[in-house]
Amino acid sequence: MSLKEEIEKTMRIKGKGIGGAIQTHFHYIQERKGEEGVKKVEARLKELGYSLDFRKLKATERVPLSLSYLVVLVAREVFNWQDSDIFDMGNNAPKYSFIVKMIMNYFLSAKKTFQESPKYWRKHYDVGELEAYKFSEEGRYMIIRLKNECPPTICTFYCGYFLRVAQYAIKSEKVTIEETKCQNKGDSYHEFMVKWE
Amino acid sequence: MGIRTLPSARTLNVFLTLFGKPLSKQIIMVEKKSIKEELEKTKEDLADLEMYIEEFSTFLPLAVCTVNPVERIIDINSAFENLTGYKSIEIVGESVEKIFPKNKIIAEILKETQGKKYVKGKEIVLLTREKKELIVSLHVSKREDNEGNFIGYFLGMIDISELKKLQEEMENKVKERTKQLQERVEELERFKRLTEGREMRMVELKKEIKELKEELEKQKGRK
Repeated sequence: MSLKEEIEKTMRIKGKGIGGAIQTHFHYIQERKGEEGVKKVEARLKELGYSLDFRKLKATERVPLSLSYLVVLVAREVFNWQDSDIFDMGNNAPKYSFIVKMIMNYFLSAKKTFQESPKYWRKHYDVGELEAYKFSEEGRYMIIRLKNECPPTICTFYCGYFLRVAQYAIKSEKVTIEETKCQNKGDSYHEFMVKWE
Repeated sequence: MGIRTLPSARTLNVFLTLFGKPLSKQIIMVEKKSIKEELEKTKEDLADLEMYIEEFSTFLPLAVCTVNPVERIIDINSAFENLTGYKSIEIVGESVEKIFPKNKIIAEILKETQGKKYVKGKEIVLLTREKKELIVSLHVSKREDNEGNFIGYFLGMIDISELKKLQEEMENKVKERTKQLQERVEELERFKRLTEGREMRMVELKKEIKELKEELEKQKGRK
């Protein structure tokens, strides 16, 4: 799917998410590409018909989810970012969010984090559903399933994001994630498998 | 007195249509409006709180980091960035052991905090991004939520490397001065021993002279 197609598809996605998500995207862009980078993304968004000043957004304000996805897609286009960059963007996103920092305090263990993940999703978005599907302490893995429409680029972003949440909660230096099922590939949900040593 | 009867279904329907339903709707609408207003106010309060915490955290000259129960750094302030050289993006999410290389010590301090709730002024080596070792005075506070559940730690660090260096220099100077004084004392003791020996010899010689004089006098008398 071309980026143009991805953007068109994205803007048809319904639902809302917290403004804090968009803020974290811009914080990451600012960190990696500086103020110039932020301006480039804002200018491209304006060209596409979406005027957005992330500084004026409130972290808890509800904004269209499609807009949050669009920022990631536009950043990808503007900076010619690869999957590894999008993964990194997702992986760093929880670091900037005030809400995440507050919630993170209550993720006392890997299992607790796993159990609480559906609530965590609902705090952020009013669409989609996150299911804490399987957790194995002995097998050192957990599986989460997400029923949510999103462009393929965002699957990579979520991989990075969920990995970070797991990294916060698991005391291991080697934590990995893999998307084992994908709605964009014909499955009825996205499935993410987190493993650790 | 006539017997009171229950209103017929028709009467009830008319009543509800005229008064009941719109009234309930009004109440629900007022309640919804009130909840919405309350929610908006809470969101604004949260945004204000976030801004306040951010400003305060940026202003604070003390390096602070928040650590979660599995000992991962989840937040840092500007002073922490200045002290360690790590940017938030680089260190948040990492284990606290990354900045405290002699990790057994930090593990012991955190364990101690579990029992005491607050540990003050523990000296520990902090490893900066540039692999420079700094000696810091570490203060750790155990965090609990409203229900008393353990939710992590606050770590406050003061760089005492310069102070320690100064202290070491002072200690070295004191040692050196003490050594010098000791040498002087020894020298004086040697001198004392020497002079005392001479005095003793003088006394002995005087005694000898006196005896010889007496002997001489005796011999003179015999002649």
